[in-house]
Amino acid sequence: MFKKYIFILIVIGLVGLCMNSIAAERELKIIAEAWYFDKYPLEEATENFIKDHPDVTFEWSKTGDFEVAPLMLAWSRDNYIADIAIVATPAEAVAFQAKGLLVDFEDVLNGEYAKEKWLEGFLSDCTINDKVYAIPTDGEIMTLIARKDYAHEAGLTDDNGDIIPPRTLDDLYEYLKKLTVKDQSGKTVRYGMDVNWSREYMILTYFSGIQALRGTIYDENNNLDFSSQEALDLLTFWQSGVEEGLISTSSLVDHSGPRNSMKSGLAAIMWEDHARVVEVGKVVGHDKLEIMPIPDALTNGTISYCMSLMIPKTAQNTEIAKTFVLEQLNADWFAHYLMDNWGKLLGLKRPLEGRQDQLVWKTVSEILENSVSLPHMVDHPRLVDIMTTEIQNMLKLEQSPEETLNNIRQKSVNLNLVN
Amino acid sequence: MKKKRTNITKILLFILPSLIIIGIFLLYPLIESIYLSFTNYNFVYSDAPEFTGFENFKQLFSDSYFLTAFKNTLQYTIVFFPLTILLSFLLALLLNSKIKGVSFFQGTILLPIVVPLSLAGVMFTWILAEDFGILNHIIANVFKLPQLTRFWLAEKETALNAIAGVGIWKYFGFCVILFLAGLKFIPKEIFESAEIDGASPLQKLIYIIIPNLHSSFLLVGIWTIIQSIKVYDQVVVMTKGGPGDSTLVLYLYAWKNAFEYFDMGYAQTVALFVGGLAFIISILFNFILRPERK
Repeated sequence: MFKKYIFILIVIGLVGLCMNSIAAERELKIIAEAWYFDKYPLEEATENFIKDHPDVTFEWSKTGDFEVAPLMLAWSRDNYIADIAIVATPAEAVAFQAKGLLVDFEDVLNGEYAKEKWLEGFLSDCTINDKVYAIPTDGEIMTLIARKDYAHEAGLTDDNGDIIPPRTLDDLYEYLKKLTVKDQSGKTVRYGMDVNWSREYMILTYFSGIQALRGTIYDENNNLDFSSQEALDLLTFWQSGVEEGLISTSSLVDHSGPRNSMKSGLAAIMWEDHARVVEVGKVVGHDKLEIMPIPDALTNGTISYCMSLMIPKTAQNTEIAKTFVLEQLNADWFAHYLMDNWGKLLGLKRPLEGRQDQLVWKTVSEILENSVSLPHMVDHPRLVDIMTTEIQNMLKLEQSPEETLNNIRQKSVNLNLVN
Repeated sequence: MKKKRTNITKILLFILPSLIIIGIFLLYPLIESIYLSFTNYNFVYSDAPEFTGFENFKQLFSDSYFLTAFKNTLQYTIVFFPLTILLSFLLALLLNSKIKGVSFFQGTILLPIVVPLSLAGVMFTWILAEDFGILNHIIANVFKLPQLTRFWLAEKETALNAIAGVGIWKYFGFCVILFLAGLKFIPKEIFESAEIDGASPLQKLIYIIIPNLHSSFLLVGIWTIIQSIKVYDQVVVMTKGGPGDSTLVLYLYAWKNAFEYFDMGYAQTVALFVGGLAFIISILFNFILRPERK
């Protein structure tokens, strides 16, 4: 009798252990940059997923923006930190994959998630050596966003009240003159434009101009373009604008400077990512804003870029992680929430196609068609620092545009700018 | 003899925990850091550190960004070091005198110490903002001098000085405490004798106070120099090294090399240079202000 009880107890214990281990296998650990928790409906996505997969539990944790070094250390030592890391951009994913630390998504990109169903620029940004190692979580294009009411006052709108797009940099310069307001002492009280030249945006802003003006970001030798006439024209346009008090330099200190200028009416046009049209619109009124292509961007496109998520090889629940990423973090409701509330795009085409009745998304789609992403570069951070330093020095009128391009070429000559 | 040996064993046992902690958290990282500074080691792309001898040290002096960071750090020190000492010394003198509400002023001066430097950076970013900053508002609307308003953090001429200003605001209270402590230790009899001899306040300052505050000056001086050489927090929060490279300082450059470029070898070289610089300046300062031996 006693033996029987012992046997039953052992069986119960074993079953308990098995259940426990099964349950532990289904716990999805996700680490994400803190700002995602404020802007993304992660709780709702989690609840929806649990409804469909009741055996899965979640553990979310926060990390700082672009804090990739601790993850890299942990993963390269085979430590399990998370099944999904929603951190940084595909450029950082390149660094992770250089050590072979990531799982690719090739096996799940079929059917409704087949590669052709994704926005090409964003997916190619996430592709390393022909394999997709990251999934876009926040896609953007670089563009101009303009105040319609200020443009109307300056006589720059058509009969429908829409802004007549400037066709050249010279046209845009004339717009800035008309949109800038100065006081009696000559001090600018409203800038024609605020351009994001912060370290975070510099490379995107510069190459968005180059792509729009030239239709490519490369020079004749297939190097990144720091030598063409268009590059010189762009820098001259920026420097003259700053010198004449037409363009604000708020972004030299604060990467949020341009959007703050737009929100407070201190600038009439902003050169940044398209998503700000929604964010700024919440403050000044959506009817007062319009996405205005950079001259020639409708033909030549601009720069698209994305933030992304990745799955490390040390993940313990790779399959369920991929399912969650596709089923919830790329669901139409999730994408539309982000588009409507924050102007952010995800990777799939479908949600954007469903919003073509709105002018903002129609324009974004048109610009996106010819847009390109930046190449993946081993020395991307160094190039960004060189460009930021040199172009900011130029904006402080310490050197000419020619010297600036020359310095960038010289200082980047030894950089590894290929993946 | 046996008792002496037992005592030594006991002493060793008592200091063992400290030795272990110092070994693990100070000595080992220092040795590792020195070793890495002689290697080419990219944290992401290298399999293992590759010994390169003095290459990194040679590179320092041909690296224009390093030289700029070095120049900026020195410039910061030139502003921060004398102003912090002068301001805190004068305030300590004032607070040591018999004025009404001295406790209130002492408390107020200490307040910045409890504010984290990063938070102070954010606060001053707003104060110094071009359009809505309170400093420009006061200059333009209270003093009626709108032509003197500036975009303090975005202009090369003012950005580094503004950052030094935040450092002074944050740290001078601590230096005031050190000077006050020194002032309390000067015997009153010396002042009384000086008064009987008809010494003026300036003479008392030069011949009594300053010589007797020798240790305080040494302490404040070394501490201030170390704070200025390792300036980092407020730069990251307020300007991230910009505009251009006008506020790029040594520690920020070391950090960039380590955690943005993943170039651990070169980052360690820059960090070692900073540590060595602080060490040499401290020794020099100690030497200059050493008490005269009779």
